[in-house]
Amino acid sequence: MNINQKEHAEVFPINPPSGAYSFRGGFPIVQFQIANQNKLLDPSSLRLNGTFKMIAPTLPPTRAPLNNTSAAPVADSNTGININNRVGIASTIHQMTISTLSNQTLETVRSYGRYLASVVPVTHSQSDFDMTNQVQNPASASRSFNGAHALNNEVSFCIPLRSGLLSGQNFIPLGTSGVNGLQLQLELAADSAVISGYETYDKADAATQMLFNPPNNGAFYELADLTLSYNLYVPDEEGQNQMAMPSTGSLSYNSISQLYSVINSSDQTKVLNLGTSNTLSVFHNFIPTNQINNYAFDSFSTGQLQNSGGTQIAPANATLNRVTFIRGGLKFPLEYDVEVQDAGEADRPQTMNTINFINSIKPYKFYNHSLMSTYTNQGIIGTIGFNYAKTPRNKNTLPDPKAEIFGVGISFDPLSKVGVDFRRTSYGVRLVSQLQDSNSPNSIFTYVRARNTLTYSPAGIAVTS
Amino acid sequence: MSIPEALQTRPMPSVDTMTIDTSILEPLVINDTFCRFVLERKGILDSGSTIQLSVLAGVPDTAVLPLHTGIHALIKRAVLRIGTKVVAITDSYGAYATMHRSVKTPEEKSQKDMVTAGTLDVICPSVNQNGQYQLRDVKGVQLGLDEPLQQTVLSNVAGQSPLFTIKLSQLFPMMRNIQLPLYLIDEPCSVELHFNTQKGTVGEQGKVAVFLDTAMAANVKTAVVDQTSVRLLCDYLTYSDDRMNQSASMAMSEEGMVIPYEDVVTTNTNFTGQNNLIVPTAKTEIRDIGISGMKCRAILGHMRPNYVDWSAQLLGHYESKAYQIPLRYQIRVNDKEVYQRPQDNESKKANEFSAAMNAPISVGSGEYSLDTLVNKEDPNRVINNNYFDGTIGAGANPGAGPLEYTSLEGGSNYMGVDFSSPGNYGVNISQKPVQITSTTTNTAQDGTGRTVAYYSMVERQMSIKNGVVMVSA
Amino acid sequence: MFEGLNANPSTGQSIYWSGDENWDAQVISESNDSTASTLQIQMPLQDGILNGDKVFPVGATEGLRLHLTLDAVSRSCNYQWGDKGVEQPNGVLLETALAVGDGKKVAIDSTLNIVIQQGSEKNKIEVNADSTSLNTNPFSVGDCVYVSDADGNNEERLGIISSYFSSTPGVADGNFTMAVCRDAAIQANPPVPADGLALAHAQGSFVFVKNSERVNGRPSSVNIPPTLNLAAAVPISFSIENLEYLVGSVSPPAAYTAAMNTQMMSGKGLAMDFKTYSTYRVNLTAKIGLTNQLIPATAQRAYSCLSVPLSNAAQIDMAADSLGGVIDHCQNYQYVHGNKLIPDRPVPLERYNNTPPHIDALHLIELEKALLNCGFPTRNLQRMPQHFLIGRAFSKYGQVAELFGEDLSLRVEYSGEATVEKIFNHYICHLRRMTISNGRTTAF
Repeated sequence: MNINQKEHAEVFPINPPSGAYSFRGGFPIVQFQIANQNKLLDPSSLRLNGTFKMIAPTLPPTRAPLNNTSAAPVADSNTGININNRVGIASTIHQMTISTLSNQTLETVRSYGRYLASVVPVTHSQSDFDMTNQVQNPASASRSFNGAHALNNEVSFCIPLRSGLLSGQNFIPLGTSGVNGLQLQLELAADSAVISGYETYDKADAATQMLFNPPNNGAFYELADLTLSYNLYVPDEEGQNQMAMPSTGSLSYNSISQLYSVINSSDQTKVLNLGTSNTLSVFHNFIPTNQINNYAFDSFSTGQLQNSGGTQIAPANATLNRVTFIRGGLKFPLEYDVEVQDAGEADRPQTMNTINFINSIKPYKFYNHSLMSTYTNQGIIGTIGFNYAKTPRNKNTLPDPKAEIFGVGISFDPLSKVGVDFRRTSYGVRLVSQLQDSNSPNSIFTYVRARNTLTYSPAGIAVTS
Repeated sequence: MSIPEALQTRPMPSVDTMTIDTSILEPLVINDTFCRFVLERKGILDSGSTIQLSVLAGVPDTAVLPLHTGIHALIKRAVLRIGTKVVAITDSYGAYATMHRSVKTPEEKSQKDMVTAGTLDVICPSVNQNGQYQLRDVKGVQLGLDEPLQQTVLSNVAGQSPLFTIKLSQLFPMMRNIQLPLYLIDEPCSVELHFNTQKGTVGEQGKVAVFLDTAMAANVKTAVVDQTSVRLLCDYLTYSDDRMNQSASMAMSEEGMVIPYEDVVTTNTNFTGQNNLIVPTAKTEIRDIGISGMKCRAILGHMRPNYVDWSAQLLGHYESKAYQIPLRYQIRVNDKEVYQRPQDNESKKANEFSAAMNAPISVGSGEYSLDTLVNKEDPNRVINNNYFDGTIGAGANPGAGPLEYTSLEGGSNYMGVDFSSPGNYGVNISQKPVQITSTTTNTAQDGTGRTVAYYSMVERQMSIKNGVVMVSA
Repeated sequence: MFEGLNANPSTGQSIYWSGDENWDAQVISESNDSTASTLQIQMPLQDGILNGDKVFPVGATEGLRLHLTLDAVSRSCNYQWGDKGVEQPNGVLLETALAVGDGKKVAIDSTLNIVIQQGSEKNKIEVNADSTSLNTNPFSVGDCVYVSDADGNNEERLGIISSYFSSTPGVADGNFTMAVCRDAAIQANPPVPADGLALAHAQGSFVFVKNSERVNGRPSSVNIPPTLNLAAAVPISFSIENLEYLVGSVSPPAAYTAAMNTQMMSGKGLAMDFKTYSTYRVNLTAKIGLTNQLIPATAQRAYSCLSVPLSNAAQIDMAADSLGGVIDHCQNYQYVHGNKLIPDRPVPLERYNNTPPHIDALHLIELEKALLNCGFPTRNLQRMPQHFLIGRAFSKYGQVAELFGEDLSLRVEYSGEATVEKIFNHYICHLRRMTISNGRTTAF
């Protein structure tokens, strides 16, 4: 099929509110439709555009700029209002559902923000957060104070939607011989999940939390002027005629699915039914259950397992000792346990676990940009500037210290990228840690990347996972 | 007809032996404003061949090159000539190169370009821990005052100023994808560079060098090319006889060897300013880009503000300044609007520029636009949330007249649109020129006009037949 | 993070040692001194077979044996602060003068305070007060320190460091003060001057450790407390435990394996190319003037040559970087292959000798091409003077060049100020072919 030209398309939501989209305002659903047309959609070009504003918990609420400028706590309801700066404005999306116009679900990504909370820092460096990512996602920053400062005013954004389908390189046929159009539904996250405060640090890296006061009234956010922009490729006349006729074809794409569970003991095996036939990788991130949907905590933090009693600035880490990956009761794909107790107790990189985790997101041999460092994870400044006299970088210019990027993950098929069948065989992960008591429930967010095949025919559309 | 694999700039599928002859050439002609290199008629000219350059400042240890442009600021125009024919020409090269550099990764900018091009781009959270940003690769003199690293500071003594390089593939878009078969061309091939010079006036500051001392008199703040340091490191590639003969037989054939290549057409225009305004005032201006009959892949736009005094501008004459109320534009190609509605979302405009460059733009949000700096509830859109904090100075007393980092705010506001699609270089422009309709809004704080340069990436064709080169219009 | 890279020299900011060692805020003694951390390291082996992009047919070669020879500790380890405080010329400056008779011992664990000058210079010690937290102390508990005049005369042993702290506890920016336990008997009754220091040492004297004592440890002494004897006796070493080679394996279909076996038993055989390095080491006898060294490379399919000039003396000196190339007043270089000059004119290197060093652009271009042709994308050109090497790419775009049949040599010119005896390591990156035919394996 030959391509004639490119079109720059932009659509508005089909359910516009009278004001702005917001969870507080009872408008948490945003729906877009891409019509059935004899054109090809370039999924990597798809962007969500709009404006983002946070409103301080004053009564009545005003649209005055915020005051995230203080490095010391102030009794002020205008200060200490921030969102997670590694995820940025995408943290407002709790769930993303992509389906055909005939309501056949192609992909649903739940807890989308926590997915990005692991993926983005593993694949982007500090400079990427402060520059590359920031232009289109102004809330992105390597330091929470800087992200908060940028959000004092209402900002415009243009962010990609990183589902498996929309991150692929294959064009999506929108015609009758294709998916017959697409529907994209975004479910917004709760204000208490999205909004928390920011941290400042003294010379000893002791943190002070800046959180708006009083929290009871609750700060909230709004999204406005939303549009979806994307590129369409128009085939030649022969190609368009082909797309208009019902025919049979298929499209392979990676999909992301999410599972939720809770861990509450020092030696626990989570058994999950993934239900995917071409499973490429799995990764897990953790957060104490009481820290989700809580203004006092960052709901998108990706720290270690924690015992009870920890705070946002002083977590009570429970060291991970050992991880075992299991398929159908047998160790798979690693025929050994991942032993990391010594390194964890010495507060040093738990290399064996971390490399597997990175590999589950991006092949380790291509690993080059990452926010992860000995400073973000262990608080040790490992980098120096470019003076000929070797001097470390000033701490205030580095990312937030000990704001860990931690997870457990495994790639099942790094070589052929076909994947492993987990339809009728369970996946298990055994976590041996220093969780001390049963009063420390930690939520586990599990993300599965698998290969799906969409088959379209005159009889309809089927998705095989 | 496809380009022979020996002339392509990518690894070849089969492995065979080859040789590389490397020559270090001095210019045949050189003065403060011009130089010419003449290449030998042998082998294939590798596009990685590199020009070495250096700049002499009027005063030592006080000046650096424009921060986001580096040594590219020295070049006004670059011409690739075969015999008397101009094969490729890049005008207003400094602004063009600055836009191209903006899509490099921060690591490449800091860890490579700072050494090879003398730039200073990467930002980081401020040492004052106040939520703002500063330049990263500098030395702290005291809180709020930095100085540049020694390896980027210019000297006034010939042979002592840092050496920088520019590859031929950076000067000429054509050399990014193809290499010149010099052994098949009868006429001499030459590379001509027209240099910028910087006189000691406030209006000329930042054209070649930025002096980090506003207290210094303007008449000493000059900059000129160091003629003793200009060299061209030329690689001539010679492959096996089979490969070389394959290209030779194409050139000797009836049709000759036809090589499509990318060239850049520069259109200069302006947006008018308005001073002494009480309320923001919008103005719509329509500009035509004369590339009718050509195939266009992308159009890039650069908007230089018409400052009278450039002394305090860290980006020099290569700043593309954003408006407090965003510029809104629409583009018409072949009488059809490209966008369904005019573009004014700054983040989306950055995305469009990234698509035209085939890589994401890598600057801070406060460098690209003033979107996070201005209060949208204020109709005058006054800046209430500065992005940068701190100053940078140099010399014996860096604190004498340092430049504010805030001069970087909104200084990398580029525009771009991409027309390429799979299997197609770009869009064929019909008889009607491309039309760009721009609505600018001047305010009390920013009534300065803009000198606008549109760079259109177009396809040309070069044919080599029996040693003679012909170039399409 | 995963391969043990630790670029920050600041004491207390090392992944290899725990403890913040912040003597400006507390007394550091044996009880809270740094202890060695156990690092979990996972690193690739940069080899054409083990790190290449092809799956290796171990079934065809009847297995693979990997033989790693570990290097000497003096080459593989460095002091965090380099040569600062190591041997007399690199000593730090005494702040408070010492008089004859100072440091008499009333008990076996009596100590003498040694105060060092405060500052950011190499011969002073400080904890930088701003948020950089740069701790420039090169000493640790158990070090045996000496003092001498600036010219090296009047050298005297001070003692074993038992603790260190600030001269103004609780107030920032104090002087680094170490309490040393002298290797001397308890004073006589009544005490005599001979019980204390034998010589006077003025302010500005040099305080230092001896490299050999640090590396090998000191023998114990009856005049030193047992725990301090133990600390002083510890030699520098490293240990690698739980060494594992993590290998992924691929099981191809039976038909594929059968076809491969058939091909191996045939005359044509199974051929596999991989990139590898051949190392040629040349001891440069001349230090100054134009030096010429033959590189006996015979590769028929070469990519690049990387030539690293190493200091001979630094190869066994833990205070120096044994693996980094030295500039030592080099002026220019040029490769010669047969009768061909590469490039056609010498590449200048003079600017590397400036203060501070500047790069020479043409050298950098040649080096970048050479590294890229070896398969190393160049990511960082900063600090070239500290990682100096010379390179030449003989080919490009995946092609190769033939070095066999003609001599390859490197000419480097040094000015009269050159002082370092050098050994050049020349790494020729080339393709090697392994062939398995008639059941036998050959490689060339």
